[in-house]
Amino acid sequence: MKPVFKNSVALFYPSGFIDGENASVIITGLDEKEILAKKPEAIFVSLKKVVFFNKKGMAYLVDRMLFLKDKCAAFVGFCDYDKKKFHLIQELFSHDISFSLIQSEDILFWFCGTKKSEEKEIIIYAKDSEQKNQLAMALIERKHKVVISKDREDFEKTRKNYDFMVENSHIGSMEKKVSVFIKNNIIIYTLKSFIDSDFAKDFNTKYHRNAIKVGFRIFCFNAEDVSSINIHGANFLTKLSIDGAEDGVSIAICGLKSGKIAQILINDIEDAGIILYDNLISFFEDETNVHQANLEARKMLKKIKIDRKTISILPDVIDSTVHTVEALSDNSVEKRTVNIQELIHGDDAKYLISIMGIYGDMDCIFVLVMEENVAKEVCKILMSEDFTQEELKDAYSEFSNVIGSKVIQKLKSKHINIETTMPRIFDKISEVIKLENGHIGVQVNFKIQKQDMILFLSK
Amino acid sequence: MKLKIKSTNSIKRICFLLTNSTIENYISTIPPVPKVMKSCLSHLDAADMMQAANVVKEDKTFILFLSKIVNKPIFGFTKEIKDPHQIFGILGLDSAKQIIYGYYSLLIIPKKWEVFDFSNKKFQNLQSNLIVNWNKILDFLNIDDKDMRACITLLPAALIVCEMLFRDIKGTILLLRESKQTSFDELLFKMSGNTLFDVTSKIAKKWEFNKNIQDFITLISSNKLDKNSNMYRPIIFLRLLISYEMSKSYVIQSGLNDFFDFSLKFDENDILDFYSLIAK
Repeated sequence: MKPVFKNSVALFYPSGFIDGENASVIITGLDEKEILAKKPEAIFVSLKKVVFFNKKGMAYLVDRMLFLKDKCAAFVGFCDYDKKKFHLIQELFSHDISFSLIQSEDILFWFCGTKKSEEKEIIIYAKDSEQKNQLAMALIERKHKVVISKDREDFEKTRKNYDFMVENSHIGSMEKKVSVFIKNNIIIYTLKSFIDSDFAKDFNTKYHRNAIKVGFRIFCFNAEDVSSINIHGANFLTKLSIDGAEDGVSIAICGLKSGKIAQILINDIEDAGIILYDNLISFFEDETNVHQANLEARKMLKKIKIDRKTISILPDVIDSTVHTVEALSDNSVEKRTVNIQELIHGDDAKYLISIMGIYGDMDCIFVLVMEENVAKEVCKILMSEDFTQEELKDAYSEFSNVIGSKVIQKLKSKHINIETTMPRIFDKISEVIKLENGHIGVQVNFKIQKQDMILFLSK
Repeated sequence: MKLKIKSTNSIKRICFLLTNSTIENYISTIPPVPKVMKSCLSHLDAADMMQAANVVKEDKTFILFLSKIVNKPIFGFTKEIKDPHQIFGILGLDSAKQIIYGYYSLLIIPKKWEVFDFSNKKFQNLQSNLIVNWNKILDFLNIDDKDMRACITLLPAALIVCEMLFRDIKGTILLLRESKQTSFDELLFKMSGNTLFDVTSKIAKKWEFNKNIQDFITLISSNKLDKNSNMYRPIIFLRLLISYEMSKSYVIQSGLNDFFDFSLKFDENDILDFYSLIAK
């Protein structure tokens, strides 16, 4: 069953019955590969359309989700259930739950995902006080205002004063891994427990390198939940900062208090150009971070020419893109020119641009440029009717993700295994041209509704 | 097929692609029931199994279908049965009628499935499971209604209807479902005002099934089910059965899992009764 990717959350929607007979086709090996390639922030199974489940079926799904959690540090669990199902799941697993339970899909997006949501005032109730705190912490981290009910009676009495509430939910225990999410074009790595040599070993440097390649330049390590950092962990972070400096990358660490790390290591970290903040909130309050992340594009210092291997995947990339665009718009896409050149564009129209890093059996950059009106047309299905510019950018990111997964599948059938990074979205083409810095790639110009669409593939 | 309408609502945008007249056109292409089947059924109605078996003996396609169905493991026969007299004798009147109705679906089954990764073999598996489990349910509910018993094999025709109606707009439909998780049944309803079971009921009418069967099929996806009606429990159990069969791994792998979306909430006791009855 193919997962649906929404705002960096992979969701499965089984329906009917979940038991030992069918659980293995709900999350299959192929789905796992796709998830590992996409590295979403969260992986959830929606129980909205599920009539019945038994322990064997649920245990299988939990096993696979925990495997994925282990591999890509995602937030995993079930969502969309009623009170009865919530208690039933707790009983099935004897109240020893290492995954999360979030009562609805909407509420899930208050906890995770790249969707920028309004600041909400939320009242929380959980029987277990540790859970109450866990839920509150997770929401506060996402900048929501949270009120915790003292007890059930207090919750029943005061809930009417709040627009939003969270109950019948559970945050699964977190393990020592790094989770990734993107906010305002800044990559945030959430660190847990000990940062030591194991952390350095497990850190996905390939993903990090490719994120730099597609133009992310501010990386924030949120160490608020870290217990301690030793010399190996600190050395790894300073090395990451020094290596990134060559590409104009800035690294920040939040919540690094003196009890967690020796002062001498803090000095080393600062000497390596890493900026320290008290917490994630103060990091985002520093407007220069958001400004830099969104307006400045890193220049690629090394120029690498496009090679034959990269060009060989062009037909599959074109096919996946054109097919998706045509299916989602009213118009056919007309291919005009194909040239090996620097990325260039014709006029100063308003554009939306997505950049994805392709890595694995081959490394390259995939840029998709669309005039904003065309982007609105193809993204309509993914947005509400009165969408904001932020929603449009989110939708364009989702749309680019769909194309990315199609390219992955197409190439897989030809035994070429690749992965893609999350798309980085720009709304100024000059920024992308600056990023590409005269790189020679293959540019395909299309016309759709007399407007421009450009596909650019470079190393 | 290309999209032409500009509208803010994505479902509305493709509505014009599938309308009532598309459905009527489709139904007009469905062939009538062969005379030999009608004759066989009338002999079964008269409880003359010998004559019924004689009538179908010369129809090799039907004999092949019959033996493929009854020799499925779910029927539990230890030896392969081929002769129609033997088959009708073992099955009894009601089950023989069920299987003949099931044969009707072969009149409209596509040679190759395009929207779903399904096959005629899987389709017959589904039919066999439905027959056996539906009989268990009716016995459990103490319902002895021949029409209700017989119509079960016609229900998978809804799958064929879906395959045929969505075939031309397959790419768009699959993309829509990928983003919005709308069931096929809901998509058809939004486009044409008909559920897949409404269309199946129209097919039942064309094949001259009686009015009770046509109404019963329509009720499966109706939101206006009266709790006090005699039909309430059998319909609820039938919805559970359809849900259960559509959750089988071979169906999920075919892309058919999210076929219907019965919005009615099921009673916990009904679910437990059902599961212990079917899964035991």
